[in-house]
Order: sequence, then C-alpha cells, then structure tokens
Amino acid sequence: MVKIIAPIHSVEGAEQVVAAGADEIYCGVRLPGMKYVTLTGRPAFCNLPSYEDLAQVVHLAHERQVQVALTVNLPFMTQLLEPLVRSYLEKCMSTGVDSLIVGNLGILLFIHQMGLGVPIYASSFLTVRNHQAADFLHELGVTRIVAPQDITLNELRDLVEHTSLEVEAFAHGEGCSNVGGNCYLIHTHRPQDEASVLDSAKVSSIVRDGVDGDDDSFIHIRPRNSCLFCFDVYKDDATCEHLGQLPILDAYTFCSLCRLPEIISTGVKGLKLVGRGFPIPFQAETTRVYRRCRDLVIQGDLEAFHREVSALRVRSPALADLCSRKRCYFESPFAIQEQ
Amino acid sequence: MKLSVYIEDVGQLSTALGSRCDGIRFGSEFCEWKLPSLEALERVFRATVECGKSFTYVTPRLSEAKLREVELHLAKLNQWLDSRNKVRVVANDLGIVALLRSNTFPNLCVQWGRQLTSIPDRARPSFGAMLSREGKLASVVGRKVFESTDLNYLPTRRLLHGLNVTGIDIDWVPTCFPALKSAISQGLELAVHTHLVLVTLTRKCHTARFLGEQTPDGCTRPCYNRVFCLQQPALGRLYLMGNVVMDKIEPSPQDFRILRKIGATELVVFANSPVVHGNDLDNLLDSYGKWMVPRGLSGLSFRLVSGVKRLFARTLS
Repeated sequence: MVKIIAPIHSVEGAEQVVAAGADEIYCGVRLPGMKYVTLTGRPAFCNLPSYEDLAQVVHLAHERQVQVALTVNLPFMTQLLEPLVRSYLEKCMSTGVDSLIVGNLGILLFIHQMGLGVPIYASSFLTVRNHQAADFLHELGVTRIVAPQDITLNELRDLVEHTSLEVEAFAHGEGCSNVGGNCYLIHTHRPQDEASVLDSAKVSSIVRDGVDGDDDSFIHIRPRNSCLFCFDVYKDDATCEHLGQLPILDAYTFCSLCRLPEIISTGVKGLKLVGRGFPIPFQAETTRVYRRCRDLVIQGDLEAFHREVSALRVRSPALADLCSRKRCYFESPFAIQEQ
Repeated sequence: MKLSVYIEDVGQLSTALGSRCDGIRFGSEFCEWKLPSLEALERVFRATVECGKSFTYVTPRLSEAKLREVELHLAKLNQWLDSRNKVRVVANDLGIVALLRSNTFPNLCVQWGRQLTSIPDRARPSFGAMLSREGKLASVVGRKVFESTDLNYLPTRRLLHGLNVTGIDIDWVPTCFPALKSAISQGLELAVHTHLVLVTLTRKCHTARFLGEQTPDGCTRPCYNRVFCLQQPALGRLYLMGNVVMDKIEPSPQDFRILRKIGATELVVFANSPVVHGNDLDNLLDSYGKWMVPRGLSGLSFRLVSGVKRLFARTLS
C-alpha cells in the first residue's frame, strides 16, 4: 500500500493531517536559542518549536498508528556541528520518533556510528537516481530513498525496479526548479518582507498573477524562493545585450494529482507532500485529497478518481491555472516554457 | 600544480591540445544528456595521450539509464589503459563512486566531484548576513563552520579513503581554501576549478527552456556557445551556463599562495565559460602559471627546479 506522507510544523497541524488520513508524518524541530539555524534543511519557522511539541506529535500519531519521521537532513556536516547534531538526535530519539531523514553522508555516518536502531531514509538532497547509489547508501544503513523532485515517471519506475530499497516520491507542493542537493540559492528568510518581494515587476507570473492568493488550502506558493525572482538577463558576449527582466530560473512544479494512477503503478512506497512551512489548512487539505484519491485508485475506481480531480480544478482556480501552465511533477524536464 | 582544461565538446579539443595546459578533462560535468559518444571519448582520449597530456573523464549525476551508458564508457576506457597509466574519473554521482570502488575497472581511479561536496559559502546571498543576526558568538562560530566544507569531517574523509578516492574537486571559494588543508593532509589530491562557484544546477535546463528546446534528447546544445549574465538585487551577478548557474570570483595572487601552501595539485579551467570567452586560453593559463610560482629566492629555486623537472620529463618521453 502506498503511504501518504504529510509535512507538519505544529501539534495542531499534526492533529489535522492525522485526522485527514496521513499514514506517515515528517517534521523537524527548532534548535533551542537559534532563530535561523536548523538541522532540518528548512528555516526555523518550518519546524516544531520544541522537543516537547515533538513528544506530543509522536504520542498523538502513534495513537492512530501513524509513524513519525524526523528530518535531520541538513546537507552539510563538519566537526564543529557534531555536538549540535548529537544533542538534537538524542533529544528527538527520546520522544520515540520512528525514523530519520538524512541528507548528508557525514551525518549518515554519524548516525550509523551512534547506532540509534531506527530506519534511516535518504533525503532528496542526496540525489539518488540510480540503483548503484541506492545500494551504496544501503550499506551505510539507509532503508528508503526519497527520490529527487525532478525525477520523471520513467526514471522513477526504473529506479524502483532496480533497487531493493523502498522509494518514496514527491507528489505535491513546492517542486524545486533546481537540484535540491546542489542548490545554494537561499530562500530569503524574512517572511515579513513578502510584501516587498511581491512587487509586480520582480517575480514570476505564477506568484504575481495571484495564484498564491485564491485557495490556500490546495495551492500555496511563497514568493521568497530565489528561483521565482525576475532577473535582468544579458547576453554574455561583446554586445551585452539586455534581453529583458525575466523569471529565467523558474521551473517550479507543484502537483501530480492527475498522474496518481501512473505514479502508484511504478511501485513507490510513499507519496510525499511538500509543505513543512505551509499553512495548516494546506497541510490538512492536501493530505485529505491525496488520501481520498489514492484510495480510489487502489480500489480501481478510476472514474470516481477523475471526477474528484475535475471537481478540485473547479473548486481551485489556482490549481487549474497551474495545470494550464504544465507545472507538474514527473513531466518532461523542458515542459515549462513560459518566458 | 598542474593546469588542466575542461572541455565538453570535441570541437574544443584542438584549442585545448594546442594550449600550454598539462591535462585535458573531457565529458559532461552537469548534464547527463550531454554525455559524449564512445567515439568522441576515444578520440579525445587518444589525442590527449598522444600529445603527452594527462586525461580525465568527467561524469555528471545520472539516472538509471544514463548510468548504464557511462558504465559502458568506463569499461572501454579501462580496456584502453594499463596499470601503469591509470585515468581519473570525476564522479559526481554516488552510483559512479560505487562502480569504481570495486575491482571491475582497475585502471580507473575516483576523483570526488564537486557536486558531492557541500560548501556553505557557495550560498547566494551569503550566509554571513544570516549568521550576524544570531548574535556575535554564533556569528564567529558560524563563520568558522561556513568557511569549511563537509570534507572537514573525519568520518567523511575516512569513507573517501575506504572508497579509494584519490582526489577531490572543489570550486573557487577562497574562504574555504585554508580549511581544505586537513583534507589534503590525509593524502587526497586537490583540484580547484578557477574563477567559478557552483551556485545551482537543474535538470530542467534553464538555457534550453529559455531558447525553446523541446526535449533533452533532441536538444541542440546551445550552451556550447551561449552564456547568459543574470542580475538581481538580492543575488548580485550570476552566469547561466547551460543547466548550471555560477558566480564568478576573480582570483588573486594571494589565493594562489594559499593553494600552494596547502598543497593543491591541479587548477582546472572550464573552456566554455565566461572566463575563457573573453580571454585567450593561453593568456589565462600564463597568468595562472605566473601566480603559481612563489616570489623571491624561494621562487627562483622553485623555477630552477621546475625547469629541470620539465627537461628531465621531456628527455624521458
């Protein structure tokens, strides 16, 4: 059975996504005393505020047989960070989390050495696209691969076929324009500046045209992602011709709902929803929708499934707009061509 | 330090061979759809070896299908070599590292690619501004962390040794050069890509999409002769080169002094970059050559010894 894996950043969010039908939830925890630095690959506001909150989340999740994966997927490790990582892991493990999501070889080796005795999942930051890489990580204790967001359907099928490890795939939410493990374009980390970033001349049309505003429960696009910014583009030659102010790095994807039957047929073990820092209604509604659609596909009721998707497009103009712009996971890499 | 030129396209071969470089790197570092054909690989390999230069094969991150293609390349490359003349393969995918660590290809050795090494100071905008908001102590400690790489972690270095990795590639992030000394002291050779910092890369090639290419397999590879400059107030000036975005940092003689001091062994120039487009390749290599030589009496003796070594090598060959 393919699991629905939902993101949270609060106890309230956990209650809602569990009630909505999540089979697994994933989250990180803020580091005490740190406003901006985390070990979870996301800004502080995308994480549970405290270890006590994590304990509550684990308790309520386990009551409903839902597993909790802890993110420790900072894609970087150095000797100076070791005490911080150790402290974080010890405190989180004491709450009873079920698994760890890791995004760096150094942290993976450290966890392996600590002998924590829980499953370890390879984050998309490790960019595993082939079975050789998967098997290599398996030797270091990894039991599940989170496929990178830019994987195509055929590549996903190929990977699942050739590796013995479980594979989970991203299905909905912010799909990076770039390779997550190699992207150093920082998302600005001042939410209060969103208004200034939304200057109509400065961001991609998927933000500028109000897609972000209509229906927060299923589509939510933050303007803080650098890849959505408009750049002044020049030819790098003797002419230095200015070609315009363009969102040239915008290859944002967001949804894969209508391809659910094909995705499930690849044999993936989990459908991962993006959005640890997103509003709780988004986390809950996307979980509910994907759970319902997954159930319909597994039951073989494709007619009901397609009706559900069509109804959703009517309810959510923002979704319909993204569909028309081909902002889909698993599409051909050059599918997004609006410039 | 040896000077190498990295080329992606056979069309750049004659320029590279005619330059004063010591080695040629060939392949596709960032895009799996630009993998060379077997014929191109053999042609570049043989021409490079005949010219007395060293050859390095460069590979990108790979899907399952493309990994199978590269595996064939590695098998052929291994066949063309013998145990006296090993060739390095730059591996940017853990799958290639896994393939090369076994004894299947005994004449190939692993160069740890720069996509496998995390360097926080590649970030744009810089992490410095963020750290300063955490307070003074955190800022000082944080600076120390972010001026390092994830090779500054002993278990990771031990893993690399266990995988028979013989060298590492790094880009031009001078703030992290001193920190790399510990990696080199463990026996890893350091190759530094000049001028350019890898800020981000994508599979949804921004250049191809911008220029209207429809499919990766049918892409006409406009990136071989087109680079774009991107400017944005928060991010500064960046360069879009195919599916990769780089920042450009002008090297200084001090940077070269630090690299000499820590024992870097190779400098790599990307032939198809904003650096070379506006400069003659040989002029660029000459300037690097001058900066690589120490000044003063130690420099004089260094030059004398280097000259004798070159003469000896020519006599032997």
